[in-house]
Amino acid sequence: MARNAKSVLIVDSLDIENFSLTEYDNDLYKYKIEDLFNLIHETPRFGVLPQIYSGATKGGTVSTRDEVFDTAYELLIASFGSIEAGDTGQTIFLSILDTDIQRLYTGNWYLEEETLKCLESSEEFSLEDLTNFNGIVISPYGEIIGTELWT
Amino acid sequence: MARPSGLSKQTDRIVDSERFFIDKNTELFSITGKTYKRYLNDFFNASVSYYFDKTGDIYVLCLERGNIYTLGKSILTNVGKTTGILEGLVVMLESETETSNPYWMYDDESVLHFVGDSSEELYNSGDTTLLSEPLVIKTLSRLLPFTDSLYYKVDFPEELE
Repeated sequence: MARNAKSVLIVDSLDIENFSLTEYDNDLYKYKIEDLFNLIHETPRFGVLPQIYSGATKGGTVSTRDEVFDTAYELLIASFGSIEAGDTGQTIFLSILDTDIQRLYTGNWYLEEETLKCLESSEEFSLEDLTNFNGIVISPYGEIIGTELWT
Repeated sequence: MARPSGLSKQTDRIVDSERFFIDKNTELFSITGKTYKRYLNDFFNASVSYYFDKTGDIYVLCLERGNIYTLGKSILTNVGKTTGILEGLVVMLESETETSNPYWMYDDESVLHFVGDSSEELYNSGDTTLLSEPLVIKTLSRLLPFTDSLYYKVDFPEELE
């Protein structure tokens, strides 16, 4: 770790929700580290509930592997606008629940050609694969940006 | 990657190539903007561990299988979930030595289901069987809404890299 600072860089503005630092002072960073700990101890930092998707709608279930693919495809398009097959930088974090065998596949999913693949597992779902897959597609971190207007 | 919204956008103002110096406990550390940004994001998006009870300053872990049911059901109820497989949450189970992969946790007829990537764990209401090791229920990120009345601790990122 580097020591012996020659100068300290200045952040013009750093707004962290209701915790706003807009002016620099010599103790800014020391103050911030300590204050962040106090802040998160004293003030609950709420997350959001998971959001279930099916196709381009909120809620519902899927019944084929193609429908899982379709749901993830719609979410990727909503999130990124356009997608480039095989780009593992364009991933979406989903939990896919198989309700027949009671298994949950969680990870970062991306498209490679006509197949939905997961960075963390070998599970995959292909376009037009009509094999039964009764399950739920879940966004654990809640509503995905770009799907606000979906119903 | 879709991550919790809000904070990450705000900390985007920190430029990756900047270098920051942080006076922490009288020691001066230097970190890049990229690392600092990740630290702040990790801090505010930190997981929360829910405990079964609290005695004085001591947080009590789940010791019996029924404790897991009680705690998990409390979490589900507080966030407004009822029963059935659609009424679940993504959580992890954590012992003192290990954190599980994510589970889908839901209640069905007084049995709490934890559906994972390789198994399904079932915890029955009132089951006094001792767990093989004490457990807490942990979120992927932050405190779940309306659960601040439960016993919880935020899992801070301890060290700057």
